[in-house]
Amino acid sequence: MALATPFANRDASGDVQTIEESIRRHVRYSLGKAASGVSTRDLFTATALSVRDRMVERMLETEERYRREDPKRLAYLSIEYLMGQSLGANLINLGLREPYRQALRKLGADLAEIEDSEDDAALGNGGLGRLAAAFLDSLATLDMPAYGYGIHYEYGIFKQEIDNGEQREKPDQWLASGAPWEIARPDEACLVPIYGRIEHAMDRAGGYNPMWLDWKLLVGVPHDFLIPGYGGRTVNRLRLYAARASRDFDMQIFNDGDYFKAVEQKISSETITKVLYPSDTFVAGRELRLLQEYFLVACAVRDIVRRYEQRHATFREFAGKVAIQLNDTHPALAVAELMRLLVDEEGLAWEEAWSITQACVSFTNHTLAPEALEKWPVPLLETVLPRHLQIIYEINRCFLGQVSAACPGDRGRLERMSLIEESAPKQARMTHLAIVGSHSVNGVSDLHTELTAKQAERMREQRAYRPAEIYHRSVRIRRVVDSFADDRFCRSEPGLFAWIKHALLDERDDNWVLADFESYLDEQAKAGQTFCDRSRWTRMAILNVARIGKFSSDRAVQEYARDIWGLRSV
Amino acid sequence: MEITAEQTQDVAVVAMPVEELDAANTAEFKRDMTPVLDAHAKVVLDLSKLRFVDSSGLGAFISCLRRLNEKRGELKLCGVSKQVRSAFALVRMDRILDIYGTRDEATRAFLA
Repeated sequence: MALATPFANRDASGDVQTIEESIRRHVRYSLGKAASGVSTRDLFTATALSVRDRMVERMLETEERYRREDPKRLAYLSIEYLMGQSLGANLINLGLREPYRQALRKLGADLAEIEDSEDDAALGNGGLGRLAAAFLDSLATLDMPAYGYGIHYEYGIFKQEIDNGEQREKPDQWLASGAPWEIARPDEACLVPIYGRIEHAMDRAGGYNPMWLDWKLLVGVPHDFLIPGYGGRTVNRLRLYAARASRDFDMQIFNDGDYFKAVEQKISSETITKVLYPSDTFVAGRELRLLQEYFLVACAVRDIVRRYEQRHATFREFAGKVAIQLNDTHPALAVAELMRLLVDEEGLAWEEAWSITQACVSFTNHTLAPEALEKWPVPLLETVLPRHLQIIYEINRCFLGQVSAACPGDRGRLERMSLIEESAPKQARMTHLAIVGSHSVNGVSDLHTELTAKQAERMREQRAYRPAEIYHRSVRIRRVVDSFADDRFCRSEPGLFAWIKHALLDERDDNWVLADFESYLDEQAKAGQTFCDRSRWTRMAILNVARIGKFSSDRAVQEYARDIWGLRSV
Repeated sequence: MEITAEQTQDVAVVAMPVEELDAANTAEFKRDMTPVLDAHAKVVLDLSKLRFVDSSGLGAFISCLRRLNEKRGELKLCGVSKQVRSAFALVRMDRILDIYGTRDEATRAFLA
């Protein structure tokens, strides 16, 4: 339905008086507060809402531009986005910092103080999430049609406190004081099936027809965050999904009279997007982590296809209109999910679906360290995603057929390249899935890929790693290695980290961690000394900023758009 | 659940009486369909009223189909909404069930 009279926008301009009025209006009508007794936090929220109004206008204009031209669109999938504080960045990108500063001064407030009061949206551990956020920023700056997809974590990365020499984690409640930037879109929620079993049946023509039955349903509710590019012409969206129970209660349990169990199940569904896992601890909640990754992928792929189907009746043009970038292996299940959707739900032949999937998907690899490469135990995958496991097996069968044809009789190669590691239990290798399912694979930086690959190869050739010798030779290294075994980091749980010492002293350590640890300590000491020399530190910081063009995400995005995504500015 | 069958020649046409078929009412649906499945071999299930079906509801349709197949009978569906059709596609049930637009089309397919 279209409104009979379109909205006459009188409140989204950039002049100081209109901005001041807009902030006043949000204090009164959005926050329900009188002008007296307004806190800094209230002013932040009202200011953010006022800025959001202006971004919404430009986002709608951007969407209209995209709708008119129907260009190829990028879906950027990342389990983390380290957005940080948005008010300052949004004002700079929109070119509105000065009028807002003046408007707030007229209201008796200081913009810098209000910017500082914003909670940090720390929805990432570090480089991976920061890269994702920087890419979205650059994509909007370069007027490229792109959507970010991620998870609407209730708690971001934990806040660290040191208490009596031990780390204490505190939750990061970035949503505690409201979330003025986000726009919830419950009308675009999608259903995500999980668990269940495969029933092996025959279709009407007598062909094999595996049916995924007895699943549970989650609901993915999108929350849009607007991403203005520098200059403010384009405002793209980052779509973060929150998990909700599929019904308010599990009706069967409710009918059986167990009200509390029904509520518990609802809470359990919503736990899936509760917390961002610190990068090194997700083993603790392995099943939940797998559910998180699948939840992201299922919601994103569903939204990508929904958007495409608004304009296209068949999937012939899909690969020409959609690019899907996997930021590391966490969204690697997108390969299996897109295949499932195209083959099972849209009825495409396997070969056609595979050629579409490969043409759409590209993958950025963040590490070559073997212990950091994601794998999922096959029994866990079978429990959580039985149909996807079947699809991964079929992808592997086709892929290994190609490898066999290219290198007949090389069993070692088949084992190394297989998507399934033949361990006990078997493991599905997510990096292999992402690589096999993509038309393009790149390292997170040229230098990173080149160095890691060359170094690993050189070290393997030399076969000269003797960690025990290094340990006995260096007092500094001995002190560090021993600290894992003497319970310094885990006084309440003796022996918890003892395995790390054994791993570090193992000659089979592919990373040769102890080999360059001395030089790492030396560099740390140098950095510490330099930091104490304030004028030198400042000079280096300024020079680094001046040289930032070398590492510009704008430049990287332009290269990705040209070489990988086939994306153009609109 | 009130399930009544209208008969056209030897075809029984049953209208799904609820908007939602899920864990809360699937057992009741299966129980109340039993007399119809026992009495007829050709059954049309009109799902025009149905707006939501979960995994247990889909299982109930498969169960109906199996009971009819056991005695060489057939089940045909009609009036399937977009949401319900999506659920069928998700589990590839649309490949084992005959689905028609209207009751007439489904009934005619039996009589042809």
